[in-house]
Amino acid sequence: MSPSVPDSLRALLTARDGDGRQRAWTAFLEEHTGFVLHGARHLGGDHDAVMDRYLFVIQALRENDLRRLRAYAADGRGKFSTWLLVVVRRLCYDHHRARYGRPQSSSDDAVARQRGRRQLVDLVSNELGLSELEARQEEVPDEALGRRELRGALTRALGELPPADRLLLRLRFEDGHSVPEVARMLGYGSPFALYRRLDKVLATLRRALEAGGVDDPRP
Amino acid sequence: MGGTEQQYHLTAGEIAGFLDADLAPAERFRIEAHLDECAECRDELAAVSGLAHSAPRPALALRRRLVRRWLPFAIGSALAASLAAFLLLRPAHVGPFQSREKLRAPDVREGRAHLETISPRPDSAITASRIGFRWKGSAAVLYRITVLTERGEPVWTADTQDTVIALPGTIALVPGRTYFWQVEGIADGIVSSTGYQTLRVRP
Repeated sequence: MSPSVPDSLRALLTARDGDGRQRAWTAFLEEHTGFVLHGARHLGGDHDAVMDRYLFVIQALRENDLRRLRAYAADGRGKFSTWLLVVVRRLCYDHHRARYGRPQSSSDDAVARQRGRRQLVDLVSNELGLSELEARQEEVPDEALGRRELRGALTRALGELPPADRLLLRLRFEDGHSVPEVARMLGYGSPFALYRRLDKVLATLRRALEAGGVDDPRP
Repeated sequence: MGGTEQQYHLTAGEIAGFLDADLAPAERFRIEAHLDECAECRDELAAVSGLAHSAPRPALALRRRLVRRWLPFAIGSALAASLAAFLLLRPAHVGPFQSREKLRAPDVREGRAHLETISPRPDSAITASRIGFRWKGSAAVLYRITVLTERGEPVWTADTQDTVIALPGTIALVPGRTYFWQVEGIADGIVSSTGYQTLRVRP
């Protein structure tokens, strides 16, 4: 069993008889019910709707001889509390689909938001100040090709970034998360560390554009 | 875990491992590459991160059990008693980026107006002496400027009714280092902010 398994879960998974398992289950719930309720409230709704989801989640965690909880114990990646929030959130969406018969899910929301998202290259080009440069270039008809070249150079430069840096740019500019939010998601120690990384990534892109023949992408 | 696994590209363990920095480097690289391409999984990552950040602290009863069980073994009993009092009495819902100060540093996406900076520019390096800060005015009666080190430690804070201020000569910034500065507009609370701006000092 993974060393990250909390004591209450370990006791539950190793309980030998019915009484012991019931006591262990009660202790497990006492410790973690706050997290389950927290996740159940995430989808909104009144008290009854939240409690419906809460009960659904509790039953799902207990079914098939604690199958889901045993899967965490065998895997052990991440803290149990984080894992539990992932599972609770997913179960809540399952409950919503089962009850309302609609394919309402986080994926539907994500697809809708994706349609409205601007492309990363457009957002990063704004951040680098390319829009002003392109506007000046468009004033000269013969220079229309330059605009495509700028975009092409930036797209190539973005493609050459490591996934971690592209992910940082996507979370910040495409998905619109704040610096503290992105710092938490990516495990930076502070927002300041993320600001420094962001500066470096943008500087890398500027240098790539300059190397590609763009003299100064800044207005 | 939850519904059919096929509808999710990443397992719960992978999401939790990513958020808690508990993945082998090769596995993290693979998941970063997937997240770069998949808006749906990024949305889930953001939602779970937000839930984890706002989650309640462990039950007080559990904290008491943890304190009673582990601290006397880990450290001396006198220090254990002090730490026990601290753990039991501190507020339950303070996240890592929250401050107890009345006027806490805002995220500019939290509904406050953006204050536009004029100088120094974020992409310029300045000399350590004679540093001046300028910003565009907003509907504020007072502006509070803060300069911090790379680690977020405060170096200097000042209030002004003007939109320009100079760093006092008594504050020495280290050449070659990077700092951050922020201006907050105040009018019955914080109404606007520049957000944190980079300040590079020439070597």
